[in-house]
Amino acid sequence: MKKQMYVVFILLITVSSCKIKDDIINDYVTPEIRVNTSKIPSNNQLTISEEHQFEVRFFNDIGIHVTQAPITWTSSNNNIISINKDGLAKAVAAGEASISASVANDNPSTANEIITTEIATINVVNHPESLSITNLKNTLGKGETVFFLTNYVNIFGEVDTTTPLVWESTNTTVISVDQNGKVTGLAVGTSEITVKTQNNSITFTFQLEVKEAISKIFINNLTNSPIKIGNNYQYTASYFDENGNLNTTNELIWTVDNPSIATIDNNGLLTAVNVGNTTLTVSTIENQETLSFEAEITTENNNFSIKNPVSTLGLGNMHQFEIDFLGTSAVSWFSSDANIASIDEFTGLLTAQSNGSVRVTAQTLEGGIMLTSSTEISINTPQKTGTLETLSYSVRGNVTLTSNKLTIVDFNSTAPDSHIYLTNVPNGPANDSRDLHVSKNGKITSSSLVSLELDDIDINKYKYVVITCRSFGNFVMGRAELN
Amino acid sequence: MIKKSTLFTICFLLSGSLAAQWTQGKGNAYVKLSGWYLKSDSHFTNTGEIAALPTRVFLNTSLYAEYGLSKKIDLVTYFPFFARSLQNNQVSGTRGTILEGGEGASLKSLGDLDIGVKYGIYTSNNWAVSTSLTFGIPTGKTDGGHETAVLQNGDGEFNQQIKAAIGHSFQLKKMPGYAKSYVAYNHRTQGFSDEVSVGAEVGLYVLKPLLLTSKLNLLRSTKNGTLSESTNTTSLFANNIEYTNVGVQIAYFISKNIGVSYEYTALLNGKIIAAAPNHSVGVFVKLH
Repeated sequence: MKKQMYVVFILLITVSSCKIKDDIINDYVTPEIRVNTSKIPSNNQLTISEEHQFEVRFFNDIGIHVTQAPITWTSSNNNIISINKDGLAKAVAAGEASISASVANDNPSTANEIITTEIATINVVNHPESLSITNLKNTLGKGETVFFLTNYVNIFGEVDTTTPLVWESTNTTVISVDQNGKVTGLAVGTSEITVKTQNNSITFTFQLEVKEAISKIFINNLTNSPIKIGNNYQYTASYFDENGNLNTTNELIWTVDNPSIATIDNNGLLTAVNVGNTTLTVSTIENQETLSFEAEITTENNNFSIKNPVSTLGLGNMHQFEIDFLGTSAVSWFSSDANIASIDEFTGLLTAQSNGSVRVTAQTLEGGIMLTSSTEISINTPQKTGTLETLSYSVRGNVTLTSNKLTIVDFNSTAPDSHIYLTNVPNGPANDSRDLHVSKNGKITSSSLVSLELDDIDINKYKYVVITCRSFGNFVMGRAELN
Repeated sequence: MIKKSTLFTICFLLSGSLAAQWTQGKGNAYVKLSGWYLKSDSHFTNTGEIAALPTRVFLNTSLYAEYGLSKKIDLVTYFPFFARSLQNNQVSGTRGTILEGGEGASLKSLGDLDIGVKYGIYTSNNWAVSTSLTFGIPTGKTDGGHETAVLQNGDGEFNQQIKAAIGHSFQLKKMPGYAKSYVAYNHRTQGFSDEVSVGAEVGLYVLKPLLLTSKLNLLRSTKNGTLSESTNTTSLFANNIEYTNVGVQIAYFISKNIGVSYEYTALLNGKIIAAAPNHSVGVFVKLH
């Protein structure tokens, strides 16, 4: 019995000491390359020069993802798509190529097969050309020049600055354009501007409108003439806003930098105050920025000259001088010799006192400057002269007429009864009631000097001296126009 | 975790004395030295489906004893003094390499100790009724193996089982035999659900001294625990284990008081338990 017990005990110990064995797992799976479909180009398409990173994962014959598997990447046409050892493909030219990945299984105990999987067939297309203007604007001021800058992307997807582009303007009277993109507004109007490649593969066209001005303000009626002191000048200005539209609603701000020379009101009315220069500025606010225009303004004195000078004045006569002066300051009149001619200081009324010459001066103080104007005047007895025109009887002679004497030098007449009349009717006959019969004391005869006294007549009352034959009806034998 | 419920149920019953509803009587004893073996490469899931697992082997060598403190009271103990669990290497059939996380694991330790008393309520010539109270002491190791092969030789909790059994002896065509059944309630701690188990056993001396015994056991969880079913991965010590098994035992009496036995037990169904038959061999001695 003890032996049997021992056997049982040994059996128990044996059972209890069993060893760890192996579970053989049937873990074989077909090795495969799994394509990450999210890494395939959209629509299986690439554009020239575009790069694309393909991605696959290799699962070996026990389903393990072999992260460092030596994938071999191939392209069916390297002239269309090239691909490097890391799966980075680059589209080279338009066409179609297939991308494949290969890898050997990594079972160290077997001869491993090469597994190849076609990833995708990729269509390579040209990169879409694009042409744009980076500093595009649709309005241009008249006379303004702008260089439009282009951004041309060629079929390789490269920014191409070497391919020549063609520029055109549909209305060259409005806008001129050269082949460098230099555009100049010539006249108000609109033109269509086109820039394109030489082979017309891509075109960019836009409307460009030439406005009178854009974001500019200027004075419409500048004058080169100095503005006379005391005078006003109404300035006007035009403001063209950022759209090139004439803007009449924005406030125009008028200023001068030296108000002692000229002042200006809010409406652009300038008033010259003193002689000098000042800067006139008109400005307005556009989008919180100030646009302004400046002009140099010159002021000067008004003309100051005697309007009606006379060289002679008959003794005892008066003459009212007038001054050509638009200023407002008071004018004073002076005579260089009041004994010859006196003049009213305030009115300029001159009175001839005696024979002689005097200088009459007018003056005024304007803008701190003394303005003067003078004239010479001679005071003497007034006379007219004339030369007798022979009509008959050989009448001739030179006539001088003053208010109290008429003389004829070298008088000749072959008529038996010659008389002298002052008249305004040169063809006669003379009329005693109309004309002034100068030789009423008797006929005159040829003489080197005929002198007849007159009774202080107005010599300006008659224009002619005529010689008549009184006994034959006062017909006119000779006459002289008195000047 | 097989310990309290399964070990108790499986091992304890296997190790228990034949016709155990009868008390030993004062000064008498019954001692059985057993080896128990379970190898499983699948298990019943929590829905009762069978799913493959790495092969695991559970075995222990235990001593079961009943000692009569009095005519009606026995001291009962089950002491798995050598428990071992292991998991096979997981080897690639393609490459022959040990797969990641699949190396074998082994755990050797004591198992969970059971100790209790049995009280004979009623005894007549043919009938015996008894009740018992057994405490499960968590002497087994619960943290063996490694991360992907957690092994346990105990469930780590203290439990208390109360059991009632009834037995009847008879003669069948001049062949002595017995029948017995039991019902037990196992109160478990540490978040484990309680368990209710019932069983029946019929033994017949077919060719004396050869005793043939058949058994049927059912164990159900009360599902009142808070512990996740998957907290313990060993499909013997999980929470909420349930099963129905049948067993056949052959005991050979070498002499009147000494014998050897072999028992084969198979699960008819189960949940969260290894899906494999287990084997037990032992030698028992009756001492007077």
